[in-house]
Amino acid sequence: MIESDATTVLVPSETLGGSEGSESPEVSVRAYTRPLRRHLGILPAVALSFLFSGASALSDAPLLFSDDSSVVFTQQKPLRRRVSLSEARTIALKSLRLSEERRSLFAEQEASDFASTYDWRRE
Amino acid sequence: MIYEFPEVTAPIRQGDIFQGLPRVELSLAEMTVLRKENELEAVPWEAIRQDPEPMAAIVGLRSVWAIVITQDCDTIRVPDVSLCEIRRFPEVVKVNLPNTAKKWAELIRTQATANLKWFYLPADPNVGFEDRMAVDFLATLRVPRQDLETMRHLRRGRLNPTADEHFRERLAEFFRRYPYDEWYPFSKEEFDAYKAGHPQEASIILPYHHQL
Repeated sequence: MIESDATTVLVPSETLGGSEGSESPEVSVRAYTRPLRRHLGILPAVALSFLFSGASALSDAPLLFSDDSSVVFTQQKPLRRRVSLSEARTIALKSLRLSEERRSLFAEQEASDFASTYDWRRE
Repeated sequence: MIYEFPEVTAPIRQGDIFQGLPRVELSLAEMTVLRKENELEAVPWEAIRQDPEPMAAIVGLRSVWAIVITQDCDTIRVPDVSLCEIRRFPEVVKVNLPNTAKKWAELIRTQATANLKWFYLPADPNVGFEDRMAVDFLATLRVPRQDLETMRHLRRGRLNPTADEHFRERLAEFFRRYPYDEWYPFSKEEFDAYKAGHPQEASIILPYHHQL
């Protein structure tokens, strides 16, 4: 899941820049590169988080990889793991909730944009 | 050929071709839901459709080729990206396949105006198409945009500008269609002949008052 050498940690590129909204998906990885040793202490926690939470850990990633953090973000490798029925249900419902939240947020942004456009035209 | 190959970091655009995306299938007649008690239950959708709580279910999945149909300005911002499935040409177009280059050329040329339900994609090993393929406009799938962005390494190619221009017109044409009774302007004689020629649909081919 996570591969690290002296200088890099590999995590999903979607973590970059929290691309919620209309930001370009092309984000410079250089902007996120810092000396790794400053953050060796958090790596075990990050690794465990990804290993046991899968993609769900991504939403928490910004807490660990703040503006001061020190890794290079690139492509995530596939991960397989066995889950219980209970966890399967949790994963399914979480994906449902996240999808609905994304759509709701987008609808709010669209409405806001529309309102702004409408007000501008009235002036 | 009609394809180009964007950098893996290039934004997703309409006409991008992906390999290995999940197509989800479920049946309203019978589905398996996972109850809170972690018990699996097979039920028709009718039996649970009014359940106010969200549910988890086991659904059928297949890994398929697909092409992005969401338009460019939306593919960088919308929550979900829509795609149409790509399958081998004979699976989408159930006709007697041509056996000469001349006949293939004629089929490909005429399909652009005669059919509205699929879009022809020529073979190109650089994309991964060993055979002729077709976009099936009837088979749509949807994936979260951010997830797709992280999987841009699955993008095998993109329609070039000429093909993309044609693709978006065909796509718009397909979804712009609306159902109507194509016999509405017929005279009574034309209507009778039309109905006689469509015996399997006779029960729904009903005359307008001027055709009685």
